[in-house]
Amino acid sequence: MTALDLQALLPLVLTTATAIAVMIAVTITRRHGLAAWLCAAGLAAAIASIASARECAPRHISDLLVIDSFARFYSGLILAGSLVVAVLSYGYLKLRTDRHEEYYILLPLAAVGSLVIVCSANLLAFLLGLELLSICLFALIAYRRTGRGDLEAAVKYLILAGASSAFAVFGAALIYADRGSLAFGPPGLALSSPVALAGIAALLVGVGFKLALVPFHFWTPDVYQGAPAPIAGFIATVSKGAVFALALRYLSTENLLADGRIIWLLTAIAAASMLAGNLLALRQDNVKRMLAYSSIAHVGYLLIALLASASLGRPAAAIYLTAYFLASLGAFGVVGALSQPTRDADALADYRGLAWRRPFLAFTLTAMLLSLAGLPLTAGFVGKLSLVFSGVSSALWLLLSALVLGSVISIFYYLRLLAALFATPPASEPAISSPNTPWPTTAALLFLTVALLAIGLWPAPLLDLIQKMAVAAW
Amino acid sequence: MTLLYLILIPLLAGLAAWPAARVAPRAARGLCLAASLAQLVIAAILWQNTPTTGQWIETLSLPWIPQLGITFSLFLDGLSLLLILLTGLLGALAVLASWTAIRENVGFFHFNLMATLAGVTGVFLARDLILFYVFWELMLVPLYLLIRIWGGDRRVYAATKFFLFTQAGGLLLLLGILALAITHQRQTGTLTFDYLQLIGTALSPSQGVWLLLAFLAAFAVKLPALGLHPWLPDAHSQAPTAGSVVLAGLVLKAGGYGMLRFLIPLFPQAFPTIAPAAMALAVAGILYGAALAFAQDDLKRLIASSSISHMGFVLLGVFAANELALQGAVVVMIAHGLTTGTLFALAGAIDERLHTHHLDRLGGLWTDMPRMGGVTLFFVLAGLGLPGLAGFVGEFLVLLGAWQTSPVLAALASAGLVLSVVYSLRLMQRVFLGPKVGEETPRDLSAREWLMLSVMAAATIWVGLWPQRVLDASAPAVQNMQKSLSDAAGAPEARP
Amino acid sequence: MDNLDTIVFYFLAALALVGAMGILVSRNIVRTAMWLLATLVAAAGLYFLLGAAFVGAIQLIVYAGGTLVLIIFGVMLTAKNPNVSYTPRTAEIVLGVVLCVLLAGALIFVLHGTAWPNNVKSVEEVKRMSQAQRDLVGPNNPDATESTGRRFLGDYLVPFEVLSLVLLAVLIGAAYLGRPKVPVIGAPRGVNPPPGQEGPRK
Repeated sequence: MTALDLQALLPLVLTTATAIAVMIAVTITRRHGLAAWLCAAGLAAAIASIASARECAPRHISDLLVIDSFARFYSGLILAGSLVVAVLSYGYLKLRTDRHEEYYILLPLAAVGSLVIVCSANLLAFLLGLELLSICLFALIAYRRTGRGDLEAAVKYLILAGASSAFAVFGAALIYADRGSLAFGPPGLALSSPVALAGIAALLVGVGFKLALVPFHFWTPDVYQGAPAPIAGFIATVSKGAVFALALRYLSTENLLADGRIIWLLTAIAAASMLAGNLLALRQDNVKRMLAYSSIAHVGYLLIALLASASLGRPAAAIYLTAYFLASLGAFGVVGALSQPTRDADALADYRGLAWRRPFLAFTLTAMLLSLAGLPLTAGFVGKLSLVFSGVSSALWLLLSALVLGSVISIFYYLRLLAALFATPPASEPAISSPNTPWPTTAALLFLTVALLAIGLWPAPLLDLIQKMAVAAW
Repeated sequence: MTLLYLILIPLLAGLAAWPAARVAPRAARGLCLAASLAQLVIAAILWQNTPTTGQWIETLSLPWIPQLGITFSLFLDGLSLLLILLTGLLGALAVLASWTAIRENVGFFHFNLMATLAGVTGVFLARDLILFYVFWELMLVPLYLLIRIWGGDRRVYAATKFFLFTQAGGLLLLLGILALAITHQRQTGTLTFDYLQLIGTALSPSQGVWLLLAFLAAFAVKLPALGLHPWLPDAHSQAPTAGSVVLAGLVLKAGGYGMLRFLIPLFPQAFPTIAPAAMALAVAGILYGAALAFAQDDLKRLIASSSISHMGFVLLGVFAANELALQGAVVVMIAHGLTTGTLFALAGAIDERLHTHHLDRLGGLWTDMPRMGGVTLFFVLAGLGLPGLAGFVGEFLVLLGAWQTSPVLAALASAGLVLSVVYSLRLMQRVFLGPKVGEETPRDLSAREWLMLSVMAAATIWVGLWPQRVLDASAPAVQNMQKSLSDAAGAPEARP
Repeated sequence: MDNLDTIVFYFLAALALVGAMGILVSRNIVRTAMWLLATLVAAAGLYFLLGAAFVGAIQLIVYAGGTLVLIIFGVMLTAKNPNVSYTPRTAEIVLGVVLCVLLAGALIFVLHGTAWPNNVKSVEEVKRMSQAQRDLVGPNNPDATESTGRRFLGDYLVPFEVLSLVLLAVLIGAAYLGRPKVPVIGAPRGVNPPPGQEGPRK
């Protein structure tokens, strides 16, 4: 362990330190504001440490972790996402629970788990990160402890995450049995025997569960609906982003796409996710469930980048994920901001005429929905453009047709919500009056909207950054 | 930079009108009217200074997304210029037509209207294909909101249907653009979306047909061609007056413009393969639209359905693809924009007075509003192709051109002209003649309405009597299309 | 010796399987826990048989000794009725059985169809072939546990610390969720929806 190792690990160390600092602060005095500020400041410091350590060459830490520019880019994305979730949670928790502070210990720990996943160079590290992430999420999903919805969601997540972890561990064991090592690479070996193939299939179950790909998606709507809105945003973005980055790294390090069977399998999963996710979202009157199904479809789109040639696919995945992070966090942020102390604003009726009651929230949500739908001048368009570009240049016509079909279906339910936003306000007072938005929530939503539009209007700087960081060979 | 101003003026006016309307709604309306007129004046000045050589009057290129080879580049030739003039004129008409009709959320209304106009202007000017797509999609959202918020009773349904159809076509267009650019990159090594560079891309026959179909899908939805039209009657009839004016007058023209601008120059080899089928579709659309118009008992739906018939002539003209037909298609687009746009404004004026546009609840309006009746008769006649007015020139040219390619189809299409007389006269008879329905005595045209209608009438007469200026403006573009078609026919096997 | 190993292996494997079946079949949660104990002990026995004494001991101490006792205590202390039973629907049983049979079939096919390196067949041979592993954890190497510990605090310090974070997260999450229930701030009495009304099913 050298000083350079420590410098490379700084984001990980700082995020851990954040959790511990909050824990110590809690033992001294229980103050919601203090815990939230400590958490946000710690995560911001971790992000700053990534920026400062940009010049480091790839570093291997004890053959389990590797810190390269790819890992740094996704670490930045994860930490930024966690920071936004932390800020959004402040206003959300204030109205809902009597003890807020534990939340700000568990959230950075979940971020550490995600960081370990994106930095892992070994299946062991991946499994470790996966466990840490899952365990924090059980508690965070059930954090409100009200009603049956959130407990049911947490138990559902617990059981299914446990089962999928078991598959992942078993898959890792089979791969170990085949090649005597858990490290990623060297490429080609993994496909030599049916045992390794079975191992990779079992791993895929674990990864597919976290990414909520069809057919491992059954937990998604219930968990999103039961979880607190910011945590639903966290599951949709940070947790998926980390596992997706790992899948990207694993597939290309092992060169698994040289095998036709794996391409076939991933293509089928991607197309099924795009179509099933969008079709199931059509029938939802519950906004959180609708966003859950739409997130299934979005990861399906992302698989196009996974299957496309690396030189175009990797930047496309990074851009699409960035745009998806912004839009999903923004959408769940608005849901959280509108929510009652007793229940989340997840009925379509809660959004009727919002544009005239709460113009800022309605405008934000409009921007987020348009970005999710991939319309121009939002980040979502740049993401979809790069994604389709990578797909066309690798001639993935089947997946592209599924994407077009899925996008058209998705327009329908995004428009349903959009139409509700601009509905004529009812003559009488609305049945529920949503609480005032606290300023940190407003600031976070404003940041997300500005970033969304800025990337949509002028994507060149982001593309430069991604070209430098997320594409570099490892 | 003039081209940038053409887009920025409506956009900034819309942005400024949003807060301005909180202070004084009249200020917002005035601002938007001034912006549209400014656009008109700039375009007119550009027209006066048209250089005599070369197709392009002005071009502009700024860097935008260099990593993907996308630039913010615009160009303007006679074809774009004509449509920009139409945009300015109809923009002013739309603002004037909703002067008293829109009373709620005036600022947001004008922002959406102006954003739509900026998007349409961008479509007519874009040189980079991705930029074209951006503008193509960009006009969608504000137009959706216009229909959604200020539309009729079934506005949500109509707005959603409109958005879905257009988006489906748009995504295919995006796939087509990207596939074309990637093919070009494989041949030349440079990734670009510049129209002028992509023109020379060599495509295998099957590639050409697929790409042509992808482009055509988007344009045929907007035009609309038969089969892709179901969104149109709903969207037009549910939209507020200004929305209908912009939809019928400009958004449909974006489809026609796309066909003229892209299909022949980019795919000259594949074009003749598709042409017979597309022409047959066009004729079917002409007849079907006319029959559909006859069956409507809603004033706005009737006008909207007649658009399907008129725009069928554009499709026919484009795919007949000789000089007469192409020129005819351009004139049909201008004439249809002028007449149908104004007819929607008139329908809006009737709706504002009587709160209905259902034919059963209208009738005998001539006694109370003789002036409006006269003006409506004028535009109905212009629409059905009375010689001396704008509609006649275009449809006549298209028929002449189509006759050279396929006499049978031309003969069938001319039956559409006869049918248009039938439904147009039915419109006049149901609304203005016959026994009076209802108690109210609506007031006749106001000074504001007189002003806007007489300007539109003057433009219609002018295009009808002196079409040569219009034809001269679009001639270079049309001649270049002819040239690329004959080049491709001359060397069909020379390319891979 | 060879035969004895084989006999012990089959005995332990059968015990593990029977225990697992028992977990599935028994409807009483305490009985389930007892069947789980059998499975865990059998798995520990298998580790010992393979010469992995360290892993076997950990398995006994942590799972059989710790976790299981906690489960039973947990059931005793929390459930009002310790004999809570759960009856699955027929469709669920059928689906589960079909999936398990498919999975087991696929695994048996794969494992049986693989040419394992050097054709290792008997337990004795496994012992002989995996000399390298036995250096680390084998029963004949008194330093195995020590070297494992050294590695945890040396090369593998970072993952080891991450592992401690996992425990921290468990601790905090459990402590938070296990607190006695208090009414939600800001919600007047009676506003909390009755159970079942906000269940996430549509």
